[in-house]
Amino acid sequence: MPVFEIKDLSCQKGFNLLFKDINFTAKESDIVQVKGANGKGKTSLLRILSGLSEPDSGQISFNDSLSDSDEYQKDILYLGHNPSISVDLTVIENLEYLRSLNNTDLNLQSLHALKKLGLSNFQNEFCLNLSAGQKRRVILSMLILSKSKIWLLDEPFTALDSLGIELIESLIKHHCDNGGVCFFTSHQTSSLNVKELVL
Amino acid sequence: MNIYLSTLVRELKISIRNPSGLINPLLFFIVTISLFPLSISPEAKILSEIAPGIIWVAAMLSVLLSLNTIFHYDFDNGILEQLSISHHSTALVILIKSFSHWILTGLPIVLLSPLMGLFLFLNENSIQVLMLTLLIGTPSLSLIGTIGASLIVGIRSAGMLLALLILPLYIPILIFASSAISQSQAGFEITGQILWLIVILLFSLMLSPFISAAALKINLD
Repeated sequence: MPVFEIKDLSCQKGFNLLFKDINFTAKESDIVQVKGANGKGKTSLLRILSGLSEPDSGQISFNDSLSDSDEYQKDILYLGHNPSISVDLTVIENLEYLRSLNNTDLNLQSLHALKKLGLSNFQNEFCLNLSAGQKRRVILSMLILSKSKIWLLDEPFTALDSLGIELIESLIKHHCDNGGVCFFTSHQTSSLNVKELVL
Repeated sequence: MNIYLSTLVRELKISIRNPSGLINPLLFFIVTISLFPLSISPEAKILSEIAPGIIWVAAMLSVLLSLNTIFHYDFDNGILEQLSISHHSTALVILIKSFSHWILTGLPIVLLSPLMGLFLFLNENSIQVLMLTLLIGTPSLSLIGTIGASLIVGIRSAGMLLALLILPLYIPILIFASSAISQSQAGFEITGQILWLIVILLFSLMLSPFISAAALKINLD
């Protein structure tokens, strides 16, 4: 039974029609890779799915909750292009703040997530002193802590080394094996068993 | 930690670690006021007459100077996106951001104002009224300023636009506050002006977080 439904979704930016009348359904445990050339609207689609942008037409629902409802918002974890961290705060301070914004598992310690992402020695380091890949890992720690059912990941593998990519892929697989849904964009070929959404 | 408390702690930490944002408006406030005795007259009578206007204009401009920082930083790093899609009330988080802006800009001005009042030969009673007007008026400046800051977020070098948007809304506060101080110097009742300042504060408290949240939503789309 489909749980995530996109109906007749269209998006236009200025005079440029990015996509028109997209219909797509995803069920529990589906990993969806959004594919398309540059400028085809992959990021715009994820932003619409997250509720950040309004579509020009169409609607999105998850278990019958529409995308503008509180229930839907609680089920969303969106990690975009922006680092979502402040360089003036330490790794742990940034992660704690992201946790307070998102729906996370309170039984899990932030340090546990940082350890998994290889940042346990950097917990009190200012993010200003981290490399691009390490900054990316700070925000990706949310994948371990989040309780949201739908993950929307925009280019999650950017700036990561091969071990990092493997780790994120295993986290996505674990999330979806436990009944979650994941939409991600990437130009890389993934080792995951994905369903494709081509724009 | 609760989102509202952690937002307040986060804002204060970031500002303390970037003291220039904190010190610049305050320095502007002090320097502007100290230029008047040099350029107009060092005479006590003249200075005490124009002091209410000078101090309030300087306070208003220094708050205006710091408004850009309220959202600009979080817009660039993507925190506003996370806030906008979170299940928490964006308006309440914005209210907390306005409050922390007041703690970092308005409150230091209130605390420094007796010194500036003495510098411009205000008497003890007028200094008390000055502090009272700043205590009620500066939170309104931060709250109304938040609306302007949320409208221009994402626009580069929009300082002038911000001033054009916000200064007309600051004028009533400026008029009531400086009139209260002048009236108290002349020995008249000031309850009316103070009540108007409270009314403006209450209106700003009720409306500004929601208007700012709506403006941010549009700018993030």
